[in-house]
Amino acid sequence: MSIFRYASPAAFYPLAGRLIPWFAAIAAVLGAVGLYLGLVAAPVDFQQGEVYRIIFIHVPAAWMGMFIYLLMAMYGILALTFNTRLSAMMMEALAPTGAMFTALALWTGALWGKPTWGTYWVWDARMTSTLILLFLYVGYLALIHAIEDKKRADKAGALLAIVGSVNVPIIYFSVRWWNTLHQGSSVNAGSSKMASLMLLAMLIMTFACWAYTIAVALARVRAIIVEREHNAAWVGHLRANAMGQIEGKAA
Amino acid sequence: MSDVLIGAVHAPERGAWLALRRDLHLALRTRGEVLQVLVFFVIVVSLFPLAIGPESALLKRIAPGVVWVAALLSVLLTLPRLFAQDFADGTLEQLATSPYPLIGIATGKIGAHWLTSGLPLTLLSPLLGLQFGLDGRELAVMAAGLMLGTPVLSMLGAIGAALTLGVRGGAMLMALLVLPLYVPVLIFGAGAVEASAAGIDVAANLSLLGAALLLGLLAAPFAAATAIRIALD
Amino acid sequence: MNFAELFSLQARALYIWGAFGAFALVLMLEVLLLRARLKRAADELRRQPMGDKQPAPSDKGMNP
Repeated sequence: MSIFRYASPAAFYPLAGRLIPWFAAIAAVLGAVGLYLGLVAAPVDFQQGEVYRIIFIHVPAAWMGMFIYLLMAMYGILALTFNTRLSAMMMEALAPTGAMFTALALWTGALWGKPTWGTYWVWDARMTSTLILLFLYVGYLALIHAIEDKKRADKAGALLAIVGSVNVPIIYFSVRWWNTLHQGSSVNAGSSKMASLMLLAMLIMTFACWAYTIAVALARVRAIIVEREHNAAWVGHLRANAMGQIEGKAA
Repeated sequence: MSDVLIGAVHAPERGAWLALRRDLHLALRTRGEVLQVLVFFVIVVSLFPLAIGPESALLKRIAPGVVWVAALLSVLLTLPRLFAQDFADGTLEQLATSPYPLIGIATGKIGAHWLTSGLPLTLLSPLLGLQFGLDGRELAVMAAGLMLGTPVLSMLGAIGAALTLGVRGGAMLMALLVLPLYVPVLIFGAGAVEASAAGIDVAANLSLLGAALLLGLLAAPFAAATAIRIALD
Repeated sequence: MNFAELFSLQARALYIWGAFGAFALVLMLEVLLLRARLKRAADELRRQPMGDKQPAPSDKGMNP
């Protein structure tokens, strides 16, 4: 049962600290490779020109927005069923990054849309669903910051994330339905002949974003742990023995 | 979390029925509130022609969306009264520790809420649709959609209301939480009327609303009860 | 390549830079804000008196 030992914030804190540099390094390497493939190696698109290269960050950002929300919901289930503080803290740590990626997906989508289809915003299924996903993130963050009692905030946020994640496929389905009903334009993110090189670049960028997310979430959860547990003796140990460790392991 | 189902003596249905009756009694005493919801509904719907002009073709086109959005907002405004009063005076706490499972009580309260908000709105909607020039079949489809959809709005709203109980600025926060969840109901409900207007089959949209209603009935009371439990602890 | 094409090329460059630039900027911002948050948490600790739960033996006699 040794892995459950890391369910306590006290034990998880140093573990997270050791993991962060690894994931940061992976993110940097994969990001460099992905950007090289996407910006340099991949050929220019016949119709769209250079602008299409935006998909190499647009699609990973959109995927990350979705994945992170699902991950939050899973932590939410853990938090509610096993009543572990750390699960709730991980949710709180992941949410800002998820919201950021979702917002970036919208922004890059708009900048890709304007030169390609003429408008910054298209009410197609994917973009609209991404917008609603951003609302869900904002709602979660607003809720956990509005409730002063941390335990209640944790549980309420967990329930909200779970309810939201159940709704996300329903919302996506309904928005696609709405879109076809109104014969809206469909934004094909490289649907047809996606060269394997381009797909590879997108996948590598996605993994880079994953590694980045893990590193950032681990760092943020360390901050949350310190902020919340500042009365605990083990944190006092940190204070007494290794003050620089907290700042040094910032990223 | 499972204590919303077990740990009680009586069957959930009995608790639901009692909670329903109690809330309806209370609503009867404040009859004006139901009237207020209807008036709000009418006012919001009327804002749109005022905002974009009386051109009848345009109004006919936007009517389903306008009526549905107005219904959404009207239900949203009535949600605070679902739990807030009972939370403030301690009744909710007593209900939670009573021998009736919280899930039954939540169901009863949600039912009473729908009867005093969603149902009156549904019954009034044909009149408003007429103002926008919708014909008989479209009005029927709109009412059917609202009949299926407004309970779902009450159920989802109950979860949001319970999560934000006693929170400062809770009403606005609740709206932010609940409105994205309302989107599928809005799409299928308004979509049904538009399909009817376009001569397409409405069965698909209405069936999806029905499915949403069933899913809500299965999951929402449990989620709402859990949220109440979280708020009370 | 005439002027119109060249101009449209410049405009397109703006979109690409706007997208990639925003991406890089926001990510860097997140990391910087996180560093600041961790530093603030550390400073808060420094400022606080020792926790009132079971102080460890080595902490006796330490002043805030």
